[in-house]
Amino acid sequence: MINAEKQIKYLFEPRTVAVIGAARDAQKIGYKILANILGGGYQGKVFPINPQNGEILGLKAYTNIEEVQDSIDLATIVIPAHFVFDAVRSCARKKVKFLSIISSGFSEVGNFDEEKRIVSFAREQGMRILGPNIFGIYSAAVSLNATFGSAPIVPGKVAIITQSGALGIAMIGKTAAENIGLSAIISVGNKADINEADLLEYLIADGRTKVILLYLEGVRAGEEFLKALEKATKKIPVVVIKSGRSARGAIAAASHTGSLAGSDEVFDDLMRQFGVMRAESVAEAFNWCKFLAHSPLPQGENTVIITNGGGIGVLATDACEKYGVKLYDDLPALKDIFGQVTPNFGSTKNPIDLTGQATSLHYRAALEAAQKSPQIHAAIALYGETAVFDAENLSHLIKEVDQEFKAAQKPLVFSIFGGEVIEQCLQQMRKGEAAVFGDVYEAVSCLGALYAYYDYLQSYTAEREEVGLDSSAIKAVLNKVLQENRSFLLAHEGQAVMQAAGISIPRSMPARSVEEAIQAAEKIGYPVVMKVISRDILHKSDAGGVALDLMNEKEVVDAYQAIMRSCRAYSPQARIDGVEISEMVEKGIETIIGARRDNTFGPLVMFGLGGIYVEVMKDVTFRALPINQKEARKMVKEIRAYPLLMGVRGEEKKDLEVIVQTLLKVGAILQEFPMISDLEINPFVVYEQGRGGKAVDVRIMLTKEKRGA
Amino acid sequence: MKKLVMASWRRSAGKTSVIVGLGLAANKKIGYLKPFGERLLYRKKRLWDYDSALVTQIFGLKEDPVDMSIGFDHSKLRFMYDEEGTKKKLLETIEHIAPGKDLLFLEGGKDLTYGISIHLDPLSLAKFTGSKLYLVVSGEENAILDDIYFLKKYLDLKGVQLGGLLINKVQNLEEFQEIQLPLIKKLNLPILGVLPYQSDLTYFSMAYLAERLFAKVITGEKELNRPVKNILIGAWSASTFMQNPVFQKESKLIITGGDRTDMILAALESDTAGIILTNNVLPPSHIIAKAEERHVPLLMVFSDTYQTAKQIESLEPLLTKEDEEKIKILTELVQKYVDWPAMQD
Repeated sequence: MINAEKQIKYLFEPRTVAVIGAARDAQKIGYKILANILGGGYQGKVFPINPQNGEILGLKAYTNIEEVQDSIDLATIVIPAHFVFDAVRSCARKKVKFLSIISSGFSEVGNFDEEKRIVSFAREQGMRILGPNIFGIYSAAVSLNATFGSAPIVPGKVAIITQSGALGIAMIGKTAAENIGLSAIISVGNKADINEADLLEYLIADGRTKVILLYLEGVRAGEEFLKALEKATKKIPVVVIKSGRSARGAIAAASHTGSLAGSDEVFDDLMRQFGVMRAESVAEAFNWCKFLAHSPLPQGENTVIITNGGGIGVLATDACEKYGVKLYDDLPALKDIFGQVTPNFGSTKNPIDLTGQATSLHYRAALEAAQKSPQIHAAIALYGETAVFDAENLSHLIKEVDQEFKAAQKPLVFSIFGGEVIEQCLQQMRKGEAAVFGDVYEAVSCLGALYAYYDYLQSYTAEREEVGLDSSAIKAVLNKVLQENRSFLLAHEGQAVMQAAGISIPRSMPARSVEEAIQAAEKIGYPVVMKVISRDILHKSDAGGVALDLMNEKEVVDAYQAIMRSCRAYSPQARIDGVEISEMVEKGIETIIGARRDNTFGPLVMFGLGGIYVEVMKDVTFRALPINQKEARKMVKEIRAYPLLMGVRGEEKKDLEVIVQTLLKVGAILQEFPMISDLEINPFVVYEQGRGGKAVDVRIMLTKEKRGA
Repeated sequence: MKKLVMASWRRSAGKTSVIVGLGLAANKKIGYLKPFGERLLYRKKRLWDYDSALVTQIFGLKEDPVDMSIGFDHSKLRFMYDEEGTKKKLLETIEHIAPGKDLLFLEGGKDLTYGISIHLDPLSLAKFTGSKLYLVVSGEENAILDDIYFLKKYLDLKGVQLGGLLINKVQNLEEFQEIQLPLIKKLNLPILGVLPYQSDLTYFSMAYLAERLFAKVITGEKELNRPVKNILIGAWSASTFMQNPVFQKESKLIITGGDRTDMILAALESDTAGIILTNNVLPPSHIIAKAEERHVPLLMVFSDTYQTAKQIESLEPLLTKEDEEKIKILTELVQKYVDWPAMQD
């Protein structure tokens, strides 16, 4: 059997290609693919397979792939769905390495069984499958255009992986029109076998690809996908467009973490975690890709805006704020750099205003000053059309300055705005490599994407800190739960897990009678909280199973009676194992810390503003596990309520470090114990800096499948 | 001050309603105790009995309902008092309540034996206080007969004097008076009254449902005093649902999932006392707005439709202070059917 896992190279660089279903009719896809392969400059051998032998497009056609004498690296299958399995069998006998199944009529129309049958057979035979339901693959490495796209593909530095065939074909045309050269474009269709993760592996190592653009509709094997992304973004930028931004209905889940994880925001958070830039639209994605493919990475964050008008300067400033581009604001330094090149009425404050009297010479001088200054790392050049500017020199100026900036390793974007001459210049510039836009926001968003990637690389570290769990203690608790055939932990068991992880919890004791409740309250010290212990009552407050702030014995006695009665009335069949008496937790900021095994993305950790309104506020952020301290700190800073944690209205700053440590511990527990599906602390009450926090309520659930510790 | 221990042979016989009727018909200064609290309310760390609160409100009593019960839970009472201690606490409580009262009702627990292990059953109450025991008996006609025969043939009340029997909620009064009553009379037990069944007394309000089901009130907060006269579970298609005869009836309660918008809309277009949304599913905002506009209470509960229906089935239609019509009926029933002067002797 061929070990195809490590041979993904042959998908992109096949030495021989067979087209099963090659057609003579120019209207057919089987013809178009063969024509594209031949017309695209592919130098390897091509074998058309067609039941009627003879010639197609000047090549000898074979009735069966097995008749071909040469070994075949890639077979493109473009025949009706019900013939595909037989073709795959022939390919197996021929020991083909990769199959690109263009044909549709599989899982996308509900024909899951046939798709599964084909994939299982192919995998058994050591073959890998791209598709089915795809438009094919283009690879600049061997000039192979095995797609049925109608436009010729311009080779270049951007690789596109798309789940949508129709959009992919349109992208081929659009990239040609925008002069965005492609290193590869691959349609993954139903992703029955080869997925984005497999493809990323090759693209980050091919030496040709400088940016990867992903178009996703849904994610499968998310954990593997995220790992592949992490590997990719360390080397090259990745841009993603994912449809389905609109909110999905809340998924019925037993934990807040579960229901909150159903939203598109999780995808956003995870993309940010792995340095992937998510574009809002195809146009934005193309702008970014083209810019990222040609721009050097900046050496620092200081950006200047050079403009000939105050208005567009202010627009650009707003755009910089929106896209996270940092404007250099050392006024004396700016004066030193630009004082000599700014007209009298101009301004050397950032934006550098060359005024309406600026000519191409003024621009050249100012941009040269920016390019030569070691304090400045990137520039945004804005030009609003004026009568005094020598517009005939604009294109030339842009090209020259752009090359100088690239040579100096400094990113540069232009935004030019005006009448016909400017429009012509824009059209002309689209064919080149300089980043020239009509709209200020488009220009700045490109720089913003580059800086987002730069920031990611600056802060990225693969280092993971040890958190120190008492694993055997946790294992003992979980084993007991499993022995009792339960899928969730009772309150005291959850607390035992917290203690074993070194997460502070309120002091508490179980009590099975009113006497024990009083004794426990006296040991812990008033005021205390009383909560029912019952495996059958998950929503304790709704069952009247919680009494707060009990100050003395009388109140404990009354609360005990009330809880017992209310819970019995709420659920007469519920098994009640007594009550838990715990210290009344001092007021602090209520946060939520959760971790769960997500069906799509695998283990995730969540942090946000907690308490009873968590699902209303939805002020939460997610990360894929494992995370390190740096990532945990980013999570804390990301929530909208971060200013609350920093202390508002004279309040003291809260203990952020305890949140970071708890996030790491919760993540580590989920990772070490695959039987845990959900772990949620809500609220995790955070106190002032140095005073730590407390896990007030802990909910831990076990998976139904993985019951082995 | 005359003390009357009111007990029932079985649960939900209507003791509290009879007490309310008796108290209002007597037109005297009354006091009330429910020594072994049962229908517990716990608010702001204070614990009291539902019936105590009700009687306090109806009669405008000055005492705190919290002080009208000694305890609510066997384990607490076992922990705090032995028999002597219980008696002492009871007498202290009576002493505290008694001043200025003409009549004191001591209401027993849900049945004749409830609370016996902690000395707060009705017979112990009568014994500790030297009061007569009044027994409310209700149910199907022949079951009433059996209970009273059993009492006569086998129960030794250990020196407690039976003040009399109040036969309550009799479905067919005429038939009962013809067939069962003559047999009961032969047993030589004091019969103080035979009260007919009144369907109006069996309705409960939406507010009561919200309280008992721990429901979240989504809309119609001001309409919660509506009585529920019919109950329908919305589990079919809206068209089948609307053809159900109960759907055509007035003041109905619909129990359905919050996602059954067709059902909810159909209910909102008809005479509906309220809708209970099960499984903690909130309907879309336009449905909520519609319910708000129609002043129909929407209550949301965690339990599923089956559990909710079961819970409602098990609820007793307790009297509330807002039930003015019910209170009036009760007073009239007592005046008409109970030999109240004989009771006060």
